[in-house]
Amino acid sequence: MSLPVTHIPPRPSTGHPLGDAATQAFAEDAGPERALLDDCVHCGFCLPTCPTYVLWGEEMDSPRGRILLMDLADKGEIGLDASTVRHWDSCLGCMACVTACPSAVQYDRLIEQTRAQVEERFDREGSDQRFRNALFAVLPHHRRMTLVAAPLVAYRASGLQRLVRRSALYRRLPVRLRQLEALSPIVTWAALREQAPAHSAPAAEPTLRVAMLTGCVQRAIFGDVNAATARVLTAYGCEVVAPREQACCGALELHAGRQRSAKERARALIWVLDDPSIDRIVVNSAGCGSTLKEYGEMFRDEPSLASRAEAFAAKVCDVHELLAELEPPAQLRPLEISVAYHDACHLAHAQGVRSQPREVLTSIPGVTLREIPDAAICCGSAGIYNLINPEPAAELGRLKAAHVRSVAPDALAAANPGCLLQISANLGAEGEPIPTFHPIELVDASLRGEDAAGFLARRRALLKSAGSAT
Amino acid sequence: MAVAETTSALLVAAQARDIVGPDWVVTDGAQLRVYECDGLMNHRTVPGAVILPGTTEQVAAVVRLCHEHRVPFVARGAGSGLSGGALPTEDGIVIGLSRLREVLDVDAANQRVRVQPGVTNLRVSEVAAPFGLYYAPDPSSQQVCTIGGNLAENSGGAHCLKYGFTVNHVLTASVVLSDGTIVELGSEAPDAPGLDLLGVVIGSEGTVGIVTEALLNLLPKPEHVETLVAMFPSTETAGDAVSAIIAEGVVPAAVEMMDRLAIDAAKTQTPITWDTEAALIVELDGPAREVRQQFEAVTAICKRCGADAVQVAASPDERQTIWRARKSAFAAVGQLSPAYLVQDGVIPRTRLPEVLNGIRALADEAGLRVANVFHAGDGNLHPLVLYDNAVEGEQAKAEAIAMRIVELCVDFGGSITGEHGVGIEKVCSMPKMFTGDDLTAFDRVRSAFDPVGLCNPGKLLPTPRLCGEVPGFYHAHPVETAGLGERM
Amino acid sequence: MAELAGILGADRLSDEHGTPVLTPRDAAEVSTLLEAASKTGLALVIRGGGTKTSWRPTPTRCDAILSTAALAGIVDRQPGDMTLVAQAGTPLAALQAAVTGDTTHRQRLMLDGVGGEAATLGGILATRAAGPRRQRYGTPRDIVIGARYVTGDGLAAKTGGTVVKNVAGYDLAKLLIGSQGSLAVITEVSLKLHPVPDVARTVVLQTTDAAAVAAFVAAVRTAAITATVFDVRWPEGIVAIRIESTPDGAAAQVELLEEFAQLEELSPEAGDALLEDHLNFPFTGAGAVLGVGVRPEHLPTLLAAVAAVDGQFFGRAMLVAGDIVLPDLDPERIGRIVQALRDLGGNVQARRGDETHRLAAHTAAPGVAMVEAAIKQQLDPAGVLV
Repeated sequence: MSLPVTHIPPRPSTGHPLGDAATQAFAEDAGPERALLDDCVHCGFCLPTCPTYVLWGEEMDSPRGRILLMDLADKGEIGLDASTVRHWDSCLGCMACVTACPSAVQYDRLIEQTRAQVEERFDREGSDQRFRNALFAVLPHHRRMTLVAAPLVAYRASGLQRLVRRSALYRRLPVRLRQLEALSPIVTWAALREQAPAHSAPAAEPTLRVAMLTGCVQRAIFGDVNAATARVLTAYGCEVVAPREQACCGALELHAGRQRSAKERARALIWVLDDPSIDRIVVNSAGCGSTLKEYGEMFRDEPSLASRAEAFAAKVCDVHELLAELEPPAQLRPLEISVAYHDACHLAHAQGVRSQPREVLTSIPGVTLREIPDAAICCGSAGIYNLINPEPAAELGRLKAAHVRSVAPDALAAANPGCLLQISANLGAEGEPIPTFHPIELVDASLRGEDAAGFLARRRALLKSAGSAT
Repeated sequence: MAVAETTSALLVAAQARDIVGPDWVVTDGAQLRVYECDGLMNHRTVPGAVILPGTTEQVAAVVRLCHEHRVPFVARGAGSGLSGGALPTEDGIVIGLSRLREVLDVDAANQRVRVQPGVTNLRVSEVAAPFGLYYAPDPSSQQVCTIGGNLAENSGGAHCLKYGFTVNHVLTASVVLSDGTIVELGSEAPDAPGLDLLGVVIGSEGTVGIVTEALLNLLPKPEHVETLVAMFPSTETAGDAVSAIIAEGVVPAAVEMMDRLAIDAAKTQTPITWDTEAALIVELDGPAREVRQQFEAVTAICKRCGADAVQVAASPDERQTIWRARKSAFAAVGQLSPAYLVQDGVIPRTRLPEVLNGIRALADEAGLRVANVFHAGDGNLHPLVLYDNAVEGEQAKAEAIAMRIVELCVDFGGSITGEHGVGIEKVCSMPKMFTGDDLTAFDRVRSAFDPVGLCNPGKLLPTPRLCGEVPGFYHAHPVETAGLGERM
Repeated sequence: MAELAGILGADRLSDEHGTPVLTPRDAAEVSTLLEAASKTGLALVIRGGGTKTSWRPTPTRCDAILSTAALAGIVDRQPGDMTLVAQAGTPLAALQAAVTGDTTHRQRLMLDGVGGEAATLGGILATRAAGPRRQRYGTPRDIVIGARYVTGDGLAAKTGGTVVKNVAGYDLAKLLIGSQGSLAVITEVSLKLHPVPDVARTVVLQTTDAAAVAAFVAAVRTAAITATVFDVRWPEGIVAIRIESTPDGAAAQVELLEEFAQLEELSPEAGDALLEDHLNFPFTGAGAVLGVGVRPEHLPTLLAAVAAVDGQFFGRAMLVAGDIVLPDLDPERIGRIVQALRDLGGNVQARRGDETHRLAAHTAAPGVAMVEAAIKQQLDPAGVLV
């Protein structure tokens, strides 16, 4: 199906001609690896899968173009300046190109390596840098997130958000602020309060002992999802530990090029979660799962940690991967609903996990799946992308929402908090809101024998309470 | 032809900003670099500017500007071409068609679809699918290559054996000529009077104009498809089987062959279990009972010609896997070797064994490996020359034997290109296939469309600057063009 | 005459009722002739079998006829590759006999000999003539893979090659096909051949209800049918489909067709005879003849328009393309049918009658006309080929 793409133009070029050999873009032995760069044969198969190329049709904002810029920078033919960095910044990191590439170019590694160098060596413009710093001061810290989220929940629950969104003032707010407002989490107080218990065990002898990642954003504003995850795992026969001391896994920072802080968080997490008695490390957030699986890679140059990180990473699995392996419990009760399952980029492209969440959903009696057209194109959340690059993110979010609406599901399920926020914000734009859930919430509802109609109605009412964010 | 100075391209770019909007004109040094080549990486030229129009009128207006300022221009689709057809001219303009990517109208009842040139080939079949229709020309790069590019190269694809080429599936096209005039070529109804200009434009590699819209013909999906892979102990026996199939009177929808090395490469990317010297993929489509009878005949022939095994696709998924193995073979070869070159040549099918021996000899002589993937049904070869670019001189050796393979094809009565086009890559090989007089005639027709010589110059026909003098290929002396003298 | 004799020698020159006829023996002689003609400003008309001279208006000037009669014969045949190279002056019938006569290879040349036994390969190309089997195999445009030709000023060149797949250079064969001999003399043609299917079966629908015909065509269009011939004769009311396939394949398709309408199957002999009939379209007679092409959905309107001028339509029902024969050369009648076809956005080309040519004359759009004129200027600068 074809939906019109409004041609949001990229930001205007700062347009200065190529000068003499600029200062070396990347440090010695750092930046995108030459061997990986050389894997690209310029075939262009990545272009139609790249969201920014789909939006703008400009070679610079395609994986092939970005790789070429990395290649030129690595060779010293161009320097790190705003007009080059801009194209790496505009990359969502969705890795749809990795899936499409017939030459197995590891673009995900390349963009991470490049971004790390950009963060270290490129001077961002003042307000941009401050905004980024502010984001990273809050998001990875679940307590600070809760502090920020609480007033937002009040803002919505009191009805104020609805009024604001209808007001003339709202339409005059600067775009970035409107975007932030649009993404303010549509969650209940319960979501802020609930958490996964530190330890839960099944009634019978557990088949597996798993550690559960509680995350940062997920923990702060989707605590109820974590609680549901623990319940579901227990129902499937697992003993679950969810240590309170754990903190952010470093994914957001890693994807944004902040290697140092990402590694610090990773070290801490390994320390907290790793234990010989743990069989698997279960993650319910796509972005986090893909980073945890990369921990071995992250520490390959640190002999003291390398093998431990490797062993850790080997135990990591997405919750759907695990559930698809295990025997579904007898008490899964029918939920007669149609669900559109959204493939989070970091689950589908980064981890190759596509069939398992679908299997888990259809193992619930009464659930029918609807496939979303153009499923492989990112929803625009992409970590902090929708906060840093609001316009293309909004366009992609609108596209995704329209595709979801086109299959008229009773509910949308996505296994990533960022996607849920982004898609909810855009689905709410018109008509009856389509309720959005983490797939685990649906399994949990089935286990608890919840009534489908009521369950959907409650979530719909919640989304409606926020008003329309157009 | 006046050579444009740097300032002329920037002058065009400056004025183009008023036509297409400042966001769609690229003059920044680093950003221009990303347009310096297409799928052929070893030819690179930085353009003077890149302009991305959003409508046919904008394309025409930009071309008019180029014409006015005598600045050469090159059209670019997805930049996936393998002969350097979208290689920019130095200080020239690249006109990118990637923003013209709407499917304008699907007329299912009459089996046609109107599209803009930036629509990908695969997308045409995707929009046709709900109506039980599809677009037949299916180049292996179909998910990225655009219709505009398909028209420029007269693309075929694996199924062209039965269904023909792009030129057989285009009814009309809007073309912007080199002076900015927009002409409508072809006809929605059959048997239009006048010259078949559309037939000349298609396959002209972007040297006579820019296509901004096309009306394509769709076909009903075949009732039944059978795909098999037959494993042969040698490419010779596989080739014999192909000849026997054709002699039997069967016209398969596609017949593809892959040799051992190509199969090994494909295995790294696709889960196939072929273990053989030569794999022959045969696909039959059409009315169900006809296909079944032909399928029996084909299977029997394969066995009679010495096939060790025949795998039949039992489901659409299995069929897709077979085709994925074939279509991603080029890129998969990159897993076996640090670098490689893909070539494109055609030979009469009956000379296949001799040519393969010739290729083997060339490869051995150079000490390099060559994998072979080809459209066995029509004799279109794609040798993949593997080399290590870290080894001094190996790239040059690889390029040399790639060219010699192409020339070998001509020696055997074939062609220097079956699909990828001449572009810049084989422009100096044209004299191997065509005499000076043949080239003169080509040049005359080209001049009829583009008297000034601004439209993708330097491609397809040899120029003295690139290739040296071609004996007999007539080039007007400036004195003649000035009307001051005549050649005797 | 003396001047003409001087170019190629007296033995290449003959006289036909006062018109000089030059008969070059090979491409080199054609080249010599045209080069000379360009220099001296001669006007030459190319003639193959002379079967379709009425397909263009009578030239206002003609200093001599350039006959391709001596440019005949098969140059090369590769049965294994299913290709054939022949000189342009070869009568098509002879070519086809040579191909089908070779019983070791079951192959055939799918160009229909429009115009009769004397029609030459070059003439078929120059007029882009096509018959009933274009339904499956297309027109000369789809069968020709290469050609040798001589431009109006004597440049001997080639386009394409002898392999079925080839994109080297411009496809000038497409330019020459349908150019009515105005750009170059075609001297040699490379062709692709097709296999002869196992069986052929012909079914006929007899109806004078145009809507029923349209419904039948619509059903066949989306069905699993590959017809070699799908013709309609109007207002006679005969729709004929010829299926060529494997035995069971043909049986399946005939069964399917019989589900769509009440059909009569012809015996193999009768089926072949009908094909012969359709191949040998009657260009004899005295009335105006027009070649037509309309968009597929306009078939019923076309049939009605033909009936309204008391004409006959003989053509391909699915494409839609064919010929209209009128009972006479009445300009009013011709004008009406031409207008009706133009109103449908269809294509018309006169096939017989200078008046018909005048009334059906086609004017190209300005941009197209400019390019056509430029091509003419490039390939025949002295205007030798009229």
